[in-house]
Amino acid sequence: MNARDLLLLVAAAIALAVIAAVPFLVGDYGISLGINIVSYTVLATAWSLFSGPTRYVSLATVAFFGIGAYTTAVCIELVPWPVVLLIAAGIGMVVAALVGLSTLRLSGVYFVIFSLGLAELIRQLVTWFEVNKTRTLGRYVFSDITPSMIYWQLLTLAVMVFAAGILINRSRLGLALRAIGDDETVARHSGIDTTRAKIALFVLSTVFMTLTGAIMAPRWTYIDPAIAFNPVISFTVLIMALLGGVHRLYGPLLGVVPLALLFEYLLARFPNHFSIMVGLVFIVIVYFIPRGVVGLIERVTTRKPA
Amino acid sequence: MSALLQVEGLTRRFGGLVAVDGLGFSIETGEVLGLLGPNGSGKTTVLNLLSGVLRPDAGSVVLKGEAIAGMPAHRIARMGMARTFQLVRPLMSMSCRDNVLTGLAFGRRSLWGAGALQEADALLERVGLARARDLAPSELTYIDQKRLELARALALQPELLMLDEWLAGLNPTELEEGIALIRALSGQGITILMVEHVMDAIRSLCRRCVVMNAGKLIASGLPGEVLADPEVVRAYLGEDDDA
Repeated sequence: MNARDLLLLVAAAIALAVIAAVPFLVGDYGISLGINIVSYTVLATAWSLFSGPTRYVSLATVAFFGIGAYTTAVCIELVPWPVVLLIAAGIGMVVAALVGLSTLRLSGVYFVIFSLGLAELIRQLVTWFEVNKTRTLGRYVFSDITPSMIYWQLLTLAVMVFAAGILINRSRLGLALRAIGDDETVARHSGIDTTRAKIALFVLSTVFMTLTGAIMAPRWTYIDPAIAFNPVISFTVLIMALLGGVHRLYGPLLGVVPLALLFEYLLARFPNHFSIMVGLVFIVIVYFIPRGVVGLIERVTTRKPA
Repeated sequence: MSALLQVEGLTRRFGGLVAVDGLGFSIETGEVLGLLGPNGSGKTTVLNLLSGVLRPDAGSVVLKGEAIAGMPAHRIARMGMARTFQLVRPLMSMSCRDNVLTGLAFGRRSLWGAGALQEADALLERVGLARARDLAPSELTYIDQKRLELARALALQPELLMLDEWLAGLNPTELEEGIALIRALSGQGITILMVEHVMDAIRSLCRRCVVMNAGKLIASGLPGEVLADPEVVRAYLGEDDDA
């Protein structure tokens, strides 16, 4: 570790301490906004952990988020909280591995459509099960977990997802993923088991999404499949990651903060036209800043002739 | 000498077209074998079948006594077969050094860390790219991109190296350097299969070559004899109208 790394680490630790102190400094609304921002930071960073290097555009974020939320709803009164989280992570991993094995040989647009369909499929399965077996379409989530505790748990998860990203970038897996993103045929010819690398990363990425859902569930006292598997979450994560820039670990963060604030404002100000506004934002981002905020920053700081 | 690679009855169809039709040949350990044939005769398809890009419809490929037909490309690569591509395919987002590191990290040696960096630099120097270590492939000339691809292939420490028109498009000086480089690799004991149209290179490097036309083997033997074979001449130049 050199001096620059050490400085970065100290700066990150101070920033983290300040961010962790937020619940003591702001009111309920501030905490709620903080939860929103941190949860989307985890989701968007986890999303780009997989989709950034491999360029597989996934709309399955909410499938895993919803699995986590439902695991909490079902288990929270049965087992201690850490066990709930372990169960959620376990279920998320199994589903991710199955999905990965069956779909990561697909490429491009087929994967996008499949991932969107997967979220809908799981939502329908949960709905069918609840209606026909348990006969309760909605569930109440009662717990003594306060919003501040949710905030700190999400913050811990955010630190973990960044740590995972840093470790991967420095590992052979990171090199493999960059090679796969550039040219999968060449990657295979360099001895990389591309399917295994992609599945490993997909599973890791989705575990963070599942845990986010599990931690977030106590925020809502009532959940049903339409809330837990709301596809808007997948699209929001995608747009935030794209705005920030997916080829750097810190990129999605730069998309999450402004968009979370913007969406908060739009939702309060134009509740009936929210979806239209989000659509417009999506178009503007893809059209004007295809490489994200990170791409803009790098273009300004390096100033190379294109 | 024993056969490093033995190919028998290799066949691949694309729809109605039989691109490779019952092809059989072998490569002895240590030799430089030329694979010739007019454009569209199926040479690149053969390389794709051997390296695992495509699965053969029929036939067998045996590398060092192990059947590899239909095996995934990464396993074939780890068994000691490396290749370059007809149109260069460097990993564009990565530095030259990282391109080579990829082959080192996942090849049969699984090198990583300081040792891998050192080895990557040595390989770049080997192909004449020492100064380009930290450059992006897009900053290299076409020729240097070819060198980079060769370094990445060598990083796998191959026993069999397949070069797909690696010498195409070089100027006379570069061609001379290229031929010397291939000869040096052969001198190190690497067996080489080269698809090539540059006949001077074939004559000076290969003791033996095989010629394909329309997916079939039409001749094999010494370069001088093969190139004078009437059927080979016909394949390249077409029928004589006056005959």
